[in-house]
Amino acid sequence: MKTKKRNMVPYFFILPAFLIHVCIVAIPSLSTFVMSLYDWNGLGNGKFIGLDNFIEIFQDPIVKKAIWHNIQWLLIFITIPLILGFTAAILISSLHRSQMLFRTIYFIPYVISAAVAGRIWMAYMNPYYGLNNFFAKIGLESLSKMQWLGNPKISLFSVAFVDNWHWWGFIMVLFLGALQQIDPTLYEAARVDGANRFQELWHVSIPGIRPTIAFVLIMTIMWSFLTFDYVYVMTKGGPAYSTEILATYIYGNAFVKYRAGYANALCVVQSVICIFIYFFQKWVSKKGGLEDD
Amino acid sequence: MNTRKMLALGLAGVMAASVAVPVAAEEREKITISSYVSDANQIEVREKYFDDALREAFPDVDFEFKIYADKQQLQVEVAGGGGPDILDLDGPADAVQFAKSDRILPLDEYSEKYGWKDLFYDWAYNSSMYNDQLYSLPNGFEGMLIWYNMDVLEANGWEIPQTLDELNELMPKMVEAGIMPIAFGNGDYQGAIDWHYSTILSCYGGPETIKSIMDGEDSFATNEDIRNAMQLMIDWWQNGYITEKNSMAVTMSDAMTFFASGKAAMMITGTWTLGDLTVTYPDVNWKACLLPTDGVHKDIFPLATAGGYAINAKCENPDLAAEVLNYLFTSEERHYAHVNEAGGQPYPLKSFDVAKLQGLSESAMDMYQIMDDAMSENRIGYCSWTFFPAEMRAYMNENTDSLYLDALSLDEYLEKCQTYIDAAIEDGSMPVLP
Repeated sequence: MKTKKRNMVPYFFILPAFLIHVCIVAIPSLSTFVMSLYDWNGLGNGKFIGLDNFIEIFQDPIVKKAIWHNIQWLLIFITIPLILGFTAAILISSLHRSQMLFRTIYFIPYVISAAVAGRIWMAYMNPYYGLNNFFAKIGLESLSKMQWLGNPKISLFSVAFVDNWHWWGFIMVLFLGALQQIDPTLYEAARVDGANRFQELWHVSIPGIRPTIAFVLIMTIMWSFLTFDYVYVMTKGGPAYSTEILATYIYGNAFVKYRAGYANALCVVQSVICIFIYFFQKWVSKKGGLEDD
Repeated sequence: MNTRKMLALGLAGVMAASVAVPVAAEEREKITISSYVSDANQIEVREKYFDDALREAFPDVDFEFKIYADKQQLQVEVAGGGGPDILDLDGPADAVQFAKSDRILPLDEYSEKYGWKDLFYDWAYNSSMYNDQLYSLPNGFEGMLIWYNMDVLEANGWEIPQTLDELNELMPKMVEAGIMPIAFGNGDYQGAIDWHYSTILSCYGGPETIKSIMDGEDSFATNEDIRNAMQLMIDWWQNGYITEKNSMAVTMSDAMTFFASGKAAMMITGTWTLGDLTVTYPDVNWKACLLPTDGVHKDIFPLATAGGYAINAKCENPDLAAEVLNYLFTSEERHYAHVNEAGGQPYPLKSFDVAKLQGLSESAMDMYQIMDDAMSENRIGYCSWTFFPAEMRAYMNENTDSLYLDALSLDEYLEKCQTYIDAAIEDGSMPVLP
């Protein structure tokens, strides 16, 4: 009896968190799935239409565009901020007195809200009073005529640049923290064995921060498919759907077009994509040695 | 029971009564009204012309103006079974969605009681109907005009164009002179594009064409007037007449600055611009006119209702809410003061009399006269946010930029619009066009 009681104790401890999870994650998730089967305007009662919303999704050219933009976003964010963050972390980790100063400087954009940063960068990217004036003054004529947010060929990259500006400092801090956890004696041992800086990096630093790399990779991949804020603030998916991503398309359907049922179906598709990518990434990470079995 | 106990009980009774009486007296009725105003200037205007006036008219009622950041916030609250008693909705298309879901009350009984049918212009009243029932009351009367910066025109020796041909000849001259012909920006709100297509379709496609299409007698996809009007707008943009092809990268407040500073000569925007010009750019020498005629359609004024008040289905005292609404639309002095002093939009009331406007600039008086004349002479066009099916408008708002950028063919665009018209006619959600 006593053993049984003792075994129950951990369950009591996790019960509150579990109940909260059920209430604010599991039930809403389930209701999202249920409502995806309805023609629902988000205000009243829906009409059951089976899989019609999903059939429409597969025929909707904007969904294809949005997913492709999410993939482009993913490719940008899985490379540029990671390389930047990692390089900066390596360089800053070798500093002593000024380390905190650089950490703070690079981290500041991360604490600025997307609404504020997005608006500031919208002003910088304004063709009339933004960076273009500066480019014109220094003689960069072609850059001074660039429509950073108005040209559909580059608008997605312009917004991604701003999100990157805000994001890479955070990645840098994560890598820096991980690098500082590596036992210094490993570096000493490597040097005794005659390793140069690159070999130290390759054989000591990178293996030492493998769990962090795996974490950053998986979070970047997931967030790339869930991203919303900078696109919404800066372009709202335009012009001509050139920055439309799944999240902004879901928002537009739910709240502008009163198509909450369709938006729920899009949410289900988005979740399925994320889950698939999560397991695929886990599998790749294990195969590549980033994660232990 | 001894005397002491009786005294104590009596005292307790008196105390309880003295507490209970004021509590009962303090029970006041409360009405909450949704509001989107956010900056200090707007709040000041609202307090002066709405809050104070309502408190004076209903001294026994507590009023709360609940500020919402956007309509989505209000939607979510109402969908959850809450929300204020009186909803300030975006317009008839919005009201239809709330009505479909039984989130707002039909107002026909109150309309009969207070005589609202005779109070409003027929077109405005009818636009607020859904399924033959009244669901909202139009709280603004607006329309589309072309605004000229007269200082720019005079400095360059240009006259206000009287015909479309003259306008088409003037715009390249403006470009040559380094002046942006039409200032416009929808970088922050893509839907602002509906100001342009509503105006161009009404003025050059023709209101009778639009009406026959919406009545199911013609087709948006094949009508040549509609096609030509849309093509005209596309040509203007592609020739750089509209914000030098930068309209998608700038905001409407940027465009207003271009106009006010003389960088741009014209704007095609609504009568609400009067408020912005009065408050933010009082020194601009402007004139608002109807779009110049194409020789077929003359002096068309595309009109719309700005928004609509509805009563929440969960309102505990709908009779009082209706009484409050009736006060808002019948308090003439307050109404005119709001228009005269704060540049507010007039309600679409039959009794609205331009002659009663005072203290306005000559340009502002001219603008109201244009509105009044167009109404009385039935030279009206149709703004999409009041008279187009909601789904069609959403599609046009999202896709007109694609036409400009050649990312979508005009054929495909017009055909898609027609499918929304067909669907609206079929499900009975087509707005009533006057």
